[in-house]
Amino acid sequence: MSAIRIKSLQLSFNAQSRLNFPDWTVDKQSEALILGPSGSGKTTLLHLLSGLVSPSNGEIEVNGYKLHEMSGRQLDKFRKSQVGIVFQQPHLIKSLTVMENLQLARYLGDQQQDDKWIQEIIDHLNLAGIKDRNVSRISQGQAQRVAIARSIMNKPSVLFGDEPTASLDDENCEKVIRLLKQEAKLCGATLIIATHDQRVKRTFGHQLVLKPQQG
Amino acid sequence: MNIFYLSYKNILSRPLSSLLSWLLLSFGVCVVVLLLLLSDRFKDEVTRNSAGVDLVIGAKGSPLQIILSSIFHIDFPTGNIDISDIMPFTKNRYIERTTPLSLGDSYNGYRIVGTIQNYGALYDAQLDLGSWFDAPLEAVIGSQVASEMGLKTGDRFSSQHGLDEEGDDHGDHGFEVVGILKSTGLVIDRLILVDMQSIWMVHDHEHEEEAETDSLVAIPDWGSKLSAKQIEEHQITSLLVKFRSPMGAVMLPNQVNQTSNLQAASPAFEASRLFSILENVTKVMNFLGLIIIAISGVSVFISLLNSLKDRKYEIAILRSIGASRRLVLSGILFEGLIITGFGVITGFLLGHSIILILFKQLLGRSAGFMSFAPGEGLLFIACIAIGIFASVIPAVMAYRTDISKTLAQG
Repeated sequence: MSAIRIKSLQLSFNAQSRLNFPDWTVDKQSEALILGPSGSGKTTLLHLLSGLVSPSNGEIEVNGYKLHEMSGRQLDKFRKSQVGIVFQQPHLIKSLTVMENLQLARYLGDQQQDDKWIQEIIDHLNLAGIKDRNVSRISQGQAQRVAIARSIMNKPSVLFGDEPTASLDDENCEKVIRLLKQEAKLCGATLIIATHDQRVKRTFGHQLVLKPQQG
Repeated sequence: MNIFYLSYKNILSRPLSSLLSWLLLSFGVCVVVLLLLLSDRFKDEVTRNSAGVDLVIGAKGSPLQIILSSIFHIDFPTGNIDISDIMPFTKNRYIERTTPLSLGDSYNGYRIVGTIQNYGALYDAQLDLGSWFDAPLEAVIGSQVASEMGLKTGDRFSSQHGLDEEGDDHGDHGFEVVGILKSTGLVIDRLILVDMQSIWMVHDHEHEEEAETDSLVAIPDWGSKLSAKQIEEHQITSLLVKFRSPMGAVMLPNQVNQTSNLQAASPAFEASRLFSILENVTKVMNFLGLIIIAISGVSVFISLLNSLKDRKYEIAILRSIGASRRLVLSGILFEGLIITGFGVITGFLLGHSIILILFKQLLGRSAGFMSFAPGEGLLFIACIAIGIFASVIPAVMAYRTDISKTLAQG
């Protein structure tokens, strides 16, 4: 069984504008890129795959979950157990510390607090020194690492990255990609990254290229 | 980690606007609670202290002043009245009982009341120690006088002329404490009771002439006998009257007011007059308090709405991790409710503490921190309702956040 399978997928925003996506399949525990210029629907496809928005037509299946048939509440549950997302900006919860951000993710995922797992991730991503710091007082690079840690807190089966490297320099770009691959492997998750960043391109074999679409 | 903790941290993350909402609500609630408690305690105080008295007869002047000085012992008396003038009222068919009062002296700020033994019965005051006064210059003191002045039975003190602490000493006319009353929670706790004749003795500065037995007039109502000379010469401050029948209320005031020097004052009537004067003040203050509470509701609303603008993305992130719409809704509702809840509680604590201190300072006794006035429950519910109302719109906005759109904008 494949991790991701989409067929005749279509999303309409209104009568005039809609996005069509090519059929695509991704194997379990593999790595894949979604490439394309801005406006081609990369982010939208990621949102469809992670159940943040429901398609107008077509089929979309993630690890056996038929997302096109599921209700909003079922999609919430699906995200809790199956999905981790890393965004371009870390967008951590500003009122909390690093540790609390991770614990919050566990809580929202309906998972028991697992100190061993949290500690493992913290060590893995080199966050031990800042774990009790408020997230407003850590650097951009550190924040992106916390965001990665948060995305795998509930051991997702699919890990999505939405332009995770767009605002990073070369060194950090390479580091983030390496970490994402490493953490996806740790959880046994399929890694899907949507990007237009050319630096990322060469490190991924499987690629889906989206063409700019007329509105 | 749970949604309450997140709400709590979010409140702390905007300390100034949270502080403002909290202060406004505490203050507003405090003002309203104070007014509710004050008017409740005040009415209670007035009712209990005037329970045994239907009418007070005093010298011409303000009836309110007569009530204040003769029942509550706070204002100055209106003047004196001749015993001969009030004699007709000691045996009147509308009257069950009369009690004379002679005011004007004090001891260290505690008022000395020249009266008869029956005064205690009027307030159901029981002796704790000793006995009632039986002879001139014997005194029975209220529980508070005893505890605060450290007076015991057998102790002596001399009275001062006037009602404040600066009055002249009456010198060698020492009173002896013969009895101490049990605490009643009434004004009588703060009074020193002596026989009416003691007051005359202290003031005459001449030794009381031996009354000639044959000219004594018995006043059964007072349980004492006065000489014709005493009735002719002496005065008292007022006469407390208890009616025999409700007809008394109709007949007596006119009868009294027709006597040139006398004035009748009804405690119930004067109290309700006082209430109605105070009611207007209370209304304005209450209105002010309610406005402040309403403003605090608006401030909670604005503070939540503002923070929501900044947190739109955070909420979308929470949803993307798996938080349901309902969880996000309850998180925002909690933020509003925590602030209002805290504000209400501190407001209540503050209001009750102030009353407690006020009672201790003014009346020297505890007002009961945990006793609530009617209306406080309603106030509590209203404040919580305002809290819910102020947070429900922001909460619904958060509930409706379009995750995909918000995240795409980020």
